[in-house]
Amino acid sequence: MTDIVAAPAVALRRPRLRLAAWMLILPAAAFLLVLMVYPVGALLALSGMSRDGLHLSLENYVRLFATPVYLRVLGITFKCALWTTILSVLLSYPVAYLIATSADRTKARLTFWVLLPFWTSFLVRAFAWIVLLGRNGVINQLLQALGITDAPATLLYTFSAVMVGMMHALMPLCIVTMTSVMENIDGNLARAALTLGARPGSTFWRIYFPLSMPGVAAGGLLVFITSLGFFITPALLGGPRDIMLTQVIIQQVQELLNWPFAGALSMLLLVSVFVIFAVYDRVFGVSTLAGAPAGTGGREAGPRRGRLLSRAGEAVLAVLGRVTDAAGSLLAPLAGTAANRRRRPVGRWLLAACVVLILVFLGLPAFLMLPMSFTSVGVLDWPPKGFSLEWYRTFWGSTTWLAATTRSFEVGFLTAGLAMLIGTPAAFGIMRGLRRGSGIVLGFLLSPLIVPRIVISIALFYLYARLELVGTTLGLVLGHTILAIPYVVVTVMAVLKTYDQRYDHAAWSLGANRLKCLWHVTLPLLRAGLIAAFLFAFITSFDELTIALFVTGGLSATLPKQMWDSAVLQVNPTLAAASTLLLVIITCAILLASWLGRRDRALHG
Amino acid sequence: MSTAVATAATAATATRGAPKLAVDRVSKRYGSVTALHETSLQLHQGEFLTLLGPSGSGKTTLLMMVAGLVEPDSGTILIDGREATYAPPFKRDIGMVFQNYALFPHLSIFENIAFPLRMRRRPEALVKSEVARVLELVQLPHVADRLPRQLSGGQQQRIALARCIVYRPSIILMDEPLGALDKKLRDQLQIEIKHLHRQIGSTILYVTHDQQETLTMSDRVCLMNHGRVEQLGTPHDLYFRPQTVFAADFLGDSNILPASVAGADGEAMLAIRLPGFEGALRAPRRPGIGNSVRVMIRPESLRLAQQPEPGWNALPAVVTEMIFAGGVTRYIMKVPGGQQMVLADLTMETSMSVELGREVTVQWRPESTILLPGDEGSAA
Repeated sequence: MTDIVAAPAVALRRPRLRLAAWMLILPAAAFLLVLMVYPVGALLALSGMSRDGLHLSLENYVRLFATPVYLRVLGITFKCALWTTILSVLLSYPVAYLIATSADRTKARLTFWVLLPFWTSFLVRAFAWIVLLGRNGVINQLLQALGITDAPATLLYTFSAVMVGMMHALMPLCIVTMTSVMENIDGNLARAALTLGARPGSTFWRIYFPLSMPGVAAGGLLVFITSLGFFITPALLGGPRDIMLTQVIIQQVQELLNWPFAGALSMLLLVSVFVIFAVYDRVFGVSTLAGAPAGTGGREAGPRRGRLLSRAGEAVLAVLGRVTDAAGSLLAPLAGTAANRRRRPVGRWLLAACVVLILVFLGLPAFLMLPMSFTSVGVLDWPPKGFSLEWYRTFWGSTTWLAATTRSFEVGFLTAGLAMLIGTPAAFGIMRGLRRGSGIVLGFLLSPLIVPRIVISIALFYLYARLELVGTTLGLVLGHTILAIPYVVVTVMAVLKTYDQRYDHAAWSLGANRLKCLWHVTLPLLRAGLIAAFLFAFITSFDELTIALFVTGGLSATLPKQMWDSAVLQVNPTLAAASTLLLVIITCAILLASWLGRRDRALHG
Repeated sequence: MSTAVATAATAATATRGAPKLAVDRVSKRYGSVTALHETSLQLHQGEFLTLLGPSGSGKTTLLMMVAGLVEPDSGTILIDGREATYAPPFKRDIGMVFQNYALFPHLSIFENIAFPLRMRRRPEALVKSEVARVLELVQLPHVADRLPRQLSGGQQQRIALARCIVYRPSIILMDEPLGALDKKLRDQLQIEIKHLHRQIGSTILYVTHDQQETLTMSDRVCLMNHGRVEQLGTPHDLYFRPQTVFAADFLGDSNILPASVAGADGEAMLAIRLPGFEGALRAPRRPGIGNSVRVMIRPESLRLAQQPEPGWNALPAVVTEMIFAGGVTRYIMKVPGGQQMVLADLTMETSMSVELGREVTVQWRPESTILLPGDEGSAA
């Protein structure tokens, strides 16, 4: 076995390996091409047609930009997205910072409290805000009890309510994204800065903060583009004056049946998202979305990037550092200044206190529905009166609710199965064979997270209507699978990243062929990660409303669709019971995933 | 230091002045694990002291406490005679070189080195000239505008050094700074660091688990094990006069055999018996050693012979293995009592080839025999 003999064999193997990798990616890519790219393309193409769909026309765009109402809607949509983004980033930063700089145990606990609302239904959380912000809601009662206001203030159905709801819905995503960047910042850098004479304030602003900027940008980007395509929260919490672009799209499709104009609105939404995305890529590079801190990869931040601008930035950071240090020295008497006495980490305590408040803001609404579901009266007022299981009885007694629940499980399992079947090979293909083009492929497979859900939904509706798939389980499963593929790919890629491929090499050397090695070695070792991916796909489907809203009808509703339909009529305690059920099921799934993950890490070091 | 020793060492102390660093009975526990038992240590102006030990021996904990990155549970730390036990790192006037260099990835090499000067608000002109001076010193004057990741590992290490010496800290702490480099580069940088140390007269506390590095660089070595100081002395001391089995075993190669003291043999010598061997061996007396002992002989002190020379210690042996390792050839032998010994000899082209399995005599000078406490428990 000399090198001379081995060389041609290697040369022969490489292209075959790459071909195999493409074959693994093919099913997922084809799936998205057929069920996302094609229908969305068709929908966008419609925007260039006249109302009757018979000839080419720019009338939809003329109408869009000439009608003040639509420009106003656009303005509100962007304003809301912008404020949501700014506030989310500001409140997420301290949480992400604390998680990233904590010891493992604390880190795991904090992460759990962030992930729980992350996976908790948008719908349940929107209901919770209705209860919190209503005229007789928790907050109004609190304000009056404290004597701050005399009469109930109008909190619900306002722009602020929408913003709080959206912030609440999207902050977990922001925190998770920021944390992944911050965790990759070497802790020794801050230590080095301290030993070099920098005070904590300067250390933070001059070293940590610039390195965490890609995380801030990535988190902000995801919040911004997601909130542009949001409609559950504005529809439930917003007033008639706070109509968003998504709501207008739905109105055009459902009420006016004006598909070409809906296409034009979708085009506007999609173009906005992609422009923002492209700008982000120019400045930071998409790789930072996957958690690379500044200066370690991604775009070269070399001398080309405006010297003047970076000088100005450095000066600002230097001033911020000094201001923080000055503020810190005011705290010094509390912390203790003597060199022979232990210092108290006062700054850290303050940070922890802030983070606890933010986590309460994130976590509490999810649990609000729990006590509400046991109320003995027929309205969702705080505090719940008495104790009864009446609403659970109503739930169990109703064929509609039970059918919806069963259907959600059915669709959830089928979706998770299908997404695993085509998503797992794709993750293997990207990690194990692609040299060139892996960034583009990954970007494409993750694009269902970027393309606004509402656009995917009505595009599918448009496609299904022609294929007679509307109202079928198959149609819904296919739709949910589009959304679940990115989660499966990301989760499986994450476990593959930590998988030592030498186990495979060992198995091959011991006589196992590829299939046997996969079955006896690789898959068992990856089991916990694969189950987690399955659970995430399941939750994605179980909790999904937007697609369900369009492609299910009447009897074929899923649980979230049934909750939505019932909420449009009246927010009643049965809804609280259903929400509680949803919460319990999803919590169990997350706990299972995180327990498996921990057990796996413990087993494999 | 007791007063008697202090008086005897007055001359030395006068030139050295007060210690740059005085660590007095510091300790640290993490939960139920004691990372460092009460430990005291002094470091003098211009001295290069190495903390050597296996991982988990407490050396890094001790270094981190000196840096102010870990708080001790008890004891005091004085830097330049000033109390610094709980002082924050930025008030200590120390410099630290980290194992992974910890160069700020978003700052240019110039800004990295300028960082400590800017934190001390030095005038811009001085910052420029000082950065240029240290870049010259580490022989990398042309990399000022680059980012850290554009440099090789060895270059990054030199920049980390430059950043540390540019503000002339009172003490420089180094935490396994060469751990991430390959052997050739490590050897070269050891000499460079040593050279810099002499050139700028800095005081260095150095942490490593590499015994070769320790012997090459240090003025004094503090050998640590299980959170305690095992032995403190010059490299020469540690190599030729180890106090414990651990010290003998950790530094260099050694043959350690269980033995017992049979009685006195003159003023300075003791008679020693090995189990399974009738004859007596001789070894220098050593205070504070019981009856049950271990004898330690370095492999390079052993000689093969046909006939034992008078006055030397000798044992019959069977050569079981011969290992050619370039400059040195090792002979592995069985000696009475079933023990194994290793002999190291400089390889010559004319080196005699010993037949495996043949009976030979292995011999060494009695002065090269080192007695160690026999009970292993006392060492740990």
